[in-house]
Amino acid sequence: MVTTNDHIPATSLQNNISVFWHRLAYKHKAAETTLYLMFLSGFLLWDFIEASWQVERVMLIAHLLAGLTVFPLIVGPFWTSHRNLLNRSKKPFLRITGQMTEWLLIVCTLTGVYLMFYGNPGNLIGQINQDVHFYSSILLTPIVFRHAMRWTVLKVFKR
Amino acid sequence: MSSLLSDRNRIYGLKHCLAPLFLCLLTVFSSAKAVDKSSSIRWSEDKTKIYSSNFDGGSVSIIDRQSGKLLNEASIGRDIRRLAFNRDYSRLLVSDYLSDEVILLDGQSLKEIKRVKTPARPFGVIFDDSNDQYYVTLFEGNKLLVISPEGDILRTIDVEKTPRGLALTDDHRLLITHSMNGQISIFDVSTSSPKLHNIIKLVDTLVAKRGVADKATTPQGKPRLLDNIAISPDGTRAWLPHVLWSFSRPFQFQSTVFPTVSILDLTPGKEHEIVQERKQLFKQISIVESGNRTRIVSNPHDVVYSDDGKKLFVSLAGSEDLMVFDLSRQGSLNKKRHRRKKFQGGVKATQIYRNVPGNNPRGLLINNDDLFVQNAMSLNLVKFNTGGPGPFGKAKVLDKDFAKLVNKDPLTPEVRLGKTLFNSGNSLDSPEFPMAGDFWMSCNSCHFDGFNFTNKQLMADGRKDKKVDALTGHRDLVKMIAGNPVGAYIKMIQNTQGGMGANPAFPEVQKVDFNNPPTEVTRRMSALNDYVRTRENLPYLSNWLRLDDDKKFTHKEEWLNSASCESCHTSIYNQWADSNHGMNMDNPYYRQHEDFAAKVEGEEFRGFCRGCHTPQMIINGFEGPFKDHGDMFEKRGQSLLDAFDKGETVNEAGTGCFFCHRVTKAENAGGNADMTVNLKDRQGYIFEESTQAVGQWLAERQINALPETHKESYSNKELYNSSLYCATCHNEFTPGPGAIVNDNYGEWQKSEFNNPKDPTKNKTCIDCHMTADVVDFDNRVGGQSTNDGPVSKDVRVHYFTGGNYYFAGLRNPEHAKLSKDMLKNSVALSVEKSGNQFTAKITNTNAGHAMPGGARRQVWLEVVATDAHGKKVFESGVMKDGYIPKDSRKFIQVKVDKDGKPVGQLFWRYEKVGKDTRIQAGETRSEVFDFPENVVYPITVNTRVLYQVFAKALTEKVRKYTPDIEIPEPEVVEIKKIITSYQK
Repeated sequence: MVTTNDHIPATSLQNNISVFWHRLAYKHKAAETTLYLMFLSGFLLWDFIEASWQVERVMLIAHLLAGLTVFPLIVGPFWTSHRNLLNRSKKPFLRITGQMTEWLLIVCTLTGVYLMFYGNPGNLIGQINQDVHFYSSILLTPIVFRHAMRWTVLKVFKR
Repeated sequence: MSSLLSDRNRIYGLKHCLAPLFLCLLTVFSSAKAVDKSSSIRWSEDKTKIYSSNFDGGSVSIIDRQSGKLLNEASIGRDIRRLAFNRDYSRLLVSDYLSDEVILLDGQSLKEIKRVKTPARPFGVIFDDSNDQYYVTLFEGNKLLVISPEGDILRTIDVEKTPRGLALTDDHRLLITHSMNGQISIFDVSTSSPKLHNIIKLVDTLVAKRGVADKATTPQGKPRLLDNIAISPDGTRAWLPHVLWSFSRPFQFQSTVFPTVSILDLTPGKEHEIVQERKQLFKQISIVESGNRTRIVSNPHDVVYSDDGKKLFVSLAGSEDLMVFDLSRQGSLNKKRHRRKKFQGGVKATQIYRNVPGNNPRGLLINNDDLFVQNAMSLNLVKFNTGGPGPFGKAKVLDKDFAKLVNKDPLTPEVRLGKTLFNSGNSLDSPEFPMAGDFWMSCNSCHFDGFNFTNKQLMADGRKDKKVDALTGHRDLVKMIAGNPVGAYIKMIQNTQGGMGANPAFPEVQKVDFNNPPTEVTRRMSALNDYVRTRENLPYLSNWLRLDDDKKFTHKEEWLNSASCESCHTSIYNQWADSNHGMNMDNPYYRQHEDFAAKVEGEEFRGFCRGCHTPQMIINGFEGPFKDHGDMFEKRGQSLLDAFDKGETVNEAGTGCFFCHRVTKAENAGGNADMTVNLKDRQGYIFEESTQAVGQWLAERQINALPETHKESYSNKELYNSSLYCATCHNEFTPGPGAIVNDNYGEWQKSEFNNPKDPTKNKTCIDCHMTADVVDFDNRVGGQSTNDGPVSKDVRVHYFTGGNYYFAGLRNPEHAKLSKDMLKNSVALSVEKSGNQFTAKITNTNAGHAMPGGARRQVWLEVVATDAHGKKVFESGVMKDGYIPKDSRKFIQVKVDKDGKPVGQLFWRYEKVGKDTRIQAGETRSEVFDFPENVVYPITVNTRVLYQVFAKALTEKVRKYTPDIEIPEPEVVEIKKIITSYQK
């Protein structure tokens, strides 16, 4: 895995953007944190958790607002730039977990958008979207964690 | 032990052969903790402290027995009624009557351990040592709860109505008093699962003596207000203080409520009331005062035995006395000594300690010669000396203010005074302005615990032949109370309780002029009004609407506009908005009538109408006449939609989404909006109440993303499926006189549609009035109540289809059609002719209540016969200029005043029913017409059943009242028609 981008010259606006874009691919902390917080706020809405409504209502609006603002602003650009690394990576594990992350992220995002605008009023399509959103997030979070474990913000296995 | 003692043969043997041994055994066993009863006051384990549940003081207190010092007080709720320790006294379970909770406390520190929500009005609490569990009665919920020592509900058992007091015998029988129907249930609690063993119905002396009720000369009455139970130390008898309601004639203070103590024989398997030993006024409760007057007492409440079992003490909460019975001559031992024909058990009241210090003596606690009386209104303890074991020893006060029960009374001084007056029948409390003429009764003798569901029983027991006397309550009210509460209360106290100088036996007490009362009386009656208007009673006075909140009024900003529901529940909103439940119940017809009521009875009386017509405005404190005319033509609640778009808050004039879906309780007091609304405890989403578009958009997104909580906040299926919910407004009675104005619920209860045992036949209100198919009620129509929501097999539409096709039809022809279809399906018509007699038979097949159901509806028969030449030879019920001829066969109820004159719009002043020709559910009415003889046959008879929502006379009155509005003529609907031809 490439760990430095100092070889990229920064001589023009286009180059500056290009440099920013390439550097962004390695700045995962904000995106990873956002993802975990999105997961946490969504997870607390799960019936099984039986969080109090005072907690749930705050989590709900936080999840919704974060999904509208922080997520597209942080996770979107990061992943778009980061996926270039994915394609070039020589490590099969990172490639596979990265691809899994990408697909799950797409599914989770699309179902989230649907839930944002249409919700789950009780019909079949709403129910499917909610279930897919939930299960995709359940899979997504540990995969992201495993994928980024070496550099993770959680630093559970900090060397 | 108890079964041993109750075996009469063995006792007989013991008495004659082993009397000394028996006495020893009795002494030993009676001093053991053989029995227990639910109580508001208890000893600590070592009897050095007193534990008190402090009623509306909202707390539990620990008092030092010697010094009377308040050692500890825990404020835990609103109305703490009973308390019981567990086996080792480490836990204390208490009932909070008004909060619908039982609370488990630490037995020493009174620290709260657990709070358990229960169904309505938990009352009695007792601990069963042998099964290691508590029992709790739910007075309004009609249940018995079995609760573990840890405070978990183990079982919920259905019991007879109004369970209240509890007592345990030492042979594992649990006695429950049923307060409002005069019954005692006996449960077998030999195992941890109580099983019903026996139900004893106390004798209704009115019926028992004469075979029929309503004999003006017969004293006594129906056993009511049962509560506490005292079981004799030998376990053979139970004493039950209560009153007898004698409401079969107009109230007269000396013959309306009687204090009584009933006695049960507890022989196992043969439990019964010993009727001849019932202790009632003029017989065994009879102590003559100076002046040769019988000392009158009222509202017997608690009862305790002395330690030796030879005396019995009864607290009298109304007259504020302590009554003592000498038991030394009771039972068969002295039977032969009685010379009177009638055996009365040898037990008579030997002392009535008049005017116990403090106010409202209730709980009693005894040990050796110490007797403590717990005053519920002055919230203190009085210490008595019992007078010792001998029959001549008299009870006397040792310390009139032995202990304070609370550090601070949570009630305001005004409400405390008002509540004290409400509970007082003590004529000595204020000799100049007594609440009762001669200690007869208090307001609480009938309005048990204030104004609540027991009102229904009050009206049921007071019901007489409505054509002779429809009133069950107070007569000749001053301004229907609301218009002049002070004057009205004075007159009610005079007429009902003989108070305020109205008792002719006490001419020295000057009668108070209710039109011009002295300042002190005004102060007292204002305080009484403050109590009557407390949160748990009648906060808005003329109706029974309640807000579940510490505050009395809300602001309109606290309400969600019904239009906010439109975006997701579009169909339901549209159905509702154009329905009769929708916006603008404040229509010209209503406005004219409400203004008339306010003019006659006073502005405050508008509340009587508004409780159901504009409840949100009542709760928001809106007063005075409506400024703008309700637009009965407005479609889709456009003004609501406009206000919502502009972010404006509204006072909805109707029963809106938020109101109906936040009703948490139907009281079953008889109607008049007897429901409780709770706005505060719903689980709201952030921005849900926003008036800004962005906030509303975000709230909607949240609700759609997580709708379950929203659904739970606005749905109470059990309540909606109960016809009682609709009865809160579709049943109506005159506030004060208690005459039934409208009884759709009662009519439905008697109908074949009320069949809970057979769900295929049972139909509640919503099964007919909120179904999509109004012609075939068995056809359950599927649909969605939420846009893109789940498809329900039986969607509850919100057209609220009923007989009023008029208002809904002005807004939406679909609503009118549904209404007319329903009407056409409500009755069956058949005709026959024999000779010159023509008979039309109308059967109320599908209304489910009387036809017509509403007071202003007109249903009548029109019969027109033409001869062979087409010439009209007979007619009946043919309208002339929009009016129905007087000799028509109308199905109608006419309410009249005491002189028999129709009251018309002044219906709240009616006193009897002049005529009631409405057709009850399932009833067939035959109307016979005599045709002329000399007619040319064949004749053709056109028979129609016609329906009109408002009479022309009323419409003309409304037109005159609102000349600026064009009031359309209410259409006459033909609901059935048969054309027949007859040959001679």
